[in-house]
Amino acid sequence: MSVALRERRSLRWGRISTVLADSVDSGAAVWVVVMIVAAGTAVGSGIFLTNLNISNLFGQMLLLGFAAVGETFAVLAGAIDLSVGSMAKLAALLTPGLVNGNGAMVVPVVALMLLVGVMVGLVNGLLITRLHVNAFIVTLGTFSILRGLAFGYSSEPVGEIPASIVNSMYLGVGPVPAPFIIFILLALTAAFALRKTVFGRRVYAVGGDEEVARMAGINTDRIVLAAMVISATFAALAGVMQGLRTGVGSPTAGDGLELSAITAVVLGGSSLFGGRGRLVGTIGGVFLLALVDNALNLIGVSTFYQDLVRGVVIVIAVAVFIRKD
Amino acid sequence: MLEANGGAENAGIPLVRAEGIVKSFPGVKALSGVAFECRARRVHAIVGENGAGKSTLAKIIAGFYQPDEGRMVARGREVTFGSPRDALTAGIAMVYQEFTLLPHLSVTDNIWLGHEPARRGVLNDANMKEQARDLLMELGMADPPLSTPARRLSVAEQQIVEIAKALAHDPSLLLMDEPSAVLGGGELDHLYDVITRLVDHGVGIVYVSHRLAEIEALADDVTVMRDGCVMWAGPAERTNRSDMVHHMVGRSLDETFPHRKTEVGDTVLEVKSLLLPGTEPEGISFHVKAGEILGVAGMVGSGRSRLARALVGVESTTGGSIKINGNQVPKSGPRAAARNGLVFLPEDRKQLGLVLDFTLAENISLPHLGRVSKAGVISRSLEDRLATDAIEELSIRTSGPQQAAQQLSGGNQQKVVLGKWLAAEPSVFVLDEPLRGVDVGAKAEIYRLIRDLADRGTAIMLISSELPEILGLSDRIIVMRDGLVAGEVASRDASEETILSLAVQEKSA
Repeated sequence: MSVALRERRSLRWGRISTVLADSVDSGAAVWVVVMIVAAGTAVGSGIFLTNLNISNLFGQMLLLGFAAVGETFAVLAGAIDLSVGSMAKLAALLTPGLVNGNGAMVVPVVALMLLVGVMVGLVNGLLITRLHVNAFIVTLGTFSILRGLAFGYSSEPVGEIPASIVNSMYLGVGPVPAPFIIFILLALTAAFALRKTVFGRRVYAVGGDEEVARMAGINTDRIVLAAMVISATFAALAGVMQGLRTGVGSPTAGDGLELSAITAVVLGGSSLFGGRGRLVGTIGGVFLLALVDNALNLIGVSTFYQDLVRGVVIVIAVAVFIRKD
Repeated sequence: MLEANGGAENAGIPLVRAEGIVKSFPGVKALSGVAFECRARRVHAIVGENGAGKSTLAKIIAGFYQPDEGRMVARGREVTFGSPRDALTAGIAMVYQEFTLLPHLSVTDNIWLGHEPARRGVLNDANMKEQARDLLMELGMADPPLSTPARRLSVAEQQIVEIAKALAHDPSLLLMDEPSAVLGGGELDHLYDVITRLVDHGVGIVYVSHRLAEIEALADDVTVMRDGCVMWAGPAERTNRSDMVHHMVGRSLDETFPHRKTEVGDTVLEVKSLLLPGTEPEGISFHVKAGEILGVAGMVGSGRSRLARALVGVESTTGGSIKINGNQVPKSGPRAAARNGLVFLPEDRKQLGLVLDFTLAENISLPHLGRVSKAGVISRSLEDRLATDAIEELSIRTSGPQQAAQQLSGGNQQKVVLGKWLAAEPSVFVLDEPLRGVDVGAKAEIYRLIRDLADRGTAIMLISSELPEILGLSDRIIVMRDGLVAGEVASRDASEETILSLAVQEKSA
């Protein structure tokens, strides 16, 4: 091989790897995988592109979607939030439980749940910043506390949401349910906040290097606190949506949600150490996880193998897309 | 952009005054009762050896550290800075010696970090870019890479961005810790211009440096520190270089370079037609013999560091061969290189050469864990003995093998990195700017160490921007330009002029 040819090849490979790296950083890479999986499923199953299935897919994405958006803030700020699953579980139980069939109670209960989310986030954030306890440990603690509270409230299905409200959760524009539109709007707002506002920039800075952020005059504690509040509030919202959609409070809601949310964030190209990643990537991760589940159901893979296949997909996606620099 | 808060009416007013400042770190008393004052329209230089407490003092003024004792007065009012934010609010900004850029943020975003121009919380990108461009152009960047992530900048470019970052705060007092350590001639001129302009606008400058020539040219006032105390302070015209050195080291300093004691042996490292991507097809060829010090000169960006990284397989190459004692070295990474006896000491020692959270002993033993362990279990006493040997041999100033690397001064950290590899007895040692940020006293010791290594038969490649250093220490010098070797000279025939003319010569048609 001539030197010139070799040089050209290496330049080309250099370009390809830069493009790949940039597409991971921008969150585009996971969307390419989403497209491929979606196209593959559409070819393999005639049911995939029906309105009913799409509507289902979008609906099933909500719980993970809201939780993952919040989790993105915590991860980007250099923290992590393991309490999102329990927070969602608590809200998913309490919402139907407190409404208990009375339509007039829906708005105040939802507001109360969001307030609980803010409070949980404050507790997480204050423990991390004031007591200087690692976020992993703090939220592992609150995870257990909230789970205990949820089971203390009820360990079996509880409460009721009026049928008219439950039905409205499935209506929207064509196959797109209204809550999904709310989700997309909130996700866009969150993406804007992260990329275009002073607050967002500081979240990246604190997660990127807390010392550097401090030298730049940033109140790093306040940023971590805010990120934890956002994370917990989105988790509460995820639980509320789940409660309203199912119409009854289920004690198994939100099981394993914290891990799925973190998986979605990582699949989207974010660094688990903070400071790097995009919310569009997280949303792509949510789509990918929901799609894989949906496809496995449609193709008729047994539940035992579903976990296995999901795990393989995650490991491959992460191995290909996570940058090793 | 460079308008200052203070005006002519503030001339002579102390912008900051520190009294009786005491600061201790675990095992070390960094400052013991220091007084310092910087006035508007003055450049106040702080000089001293490594570990003298210069950086600690600057960081206390910038709010990064909080003093254990003492008081500070800023513009006539007593202040307590709990964080850099408090100092920035009071108009005090600092260019830190450590790099403080976020690698994944763009140049513009780094410059405005912490005080981003915004309307109702939404970033004003256009405004940020425009002002960042102005700042960087004033600092001599012809075409500022505003959207480039900081990680893709060269070290010199990063330093310029660091300075722009501090200037963006529009400070009335600007502290600069070794700002010139990584800058080349042209960039330095711009830095000095900017300093002069700032001073004309009423800004006070605190300038920490080990380059005494620079101090003589720039400073209005000088404070000389040693071992956490102020040894001398006063107007610059009342001191001179030899006085400053005398106060710094407490002894007169022999600045001569150590001479070779042994004969140069056979060729150890032979590089043939090594191609860095983007260079002409002829490639880089050179050799280094046992016991020889080969100086590698060239301007910043001429490919010196890329060459060094290519030798250990970190930088990709498109062709050529690297042989050590006749054996081909695979270009697969530093491990393979080290196995073949080629060791690289990188330019940014904090990023690449040291684990700051490790103790001194843990750092030194890292490449030799096999030697300090039995059946995979690390023996603390063997590890400590290895470290103690290195401490003695290199006269590292430390409280002991168990001190954290983080707490050592720059020169002593550099010695630890050297010590880490001394025990490995490499056949080729590539040193990239080994004396960056190291000051006079420690420099002489490191010169001696490098020469000792060569006398033991190691072939040494010494990359440096400091021409006197290259001339004094090397046996032979290659000069790089545009990723190629522009010429080779024996150091006894070379002068700064011959090297410079090779380094900047226009390409002939």
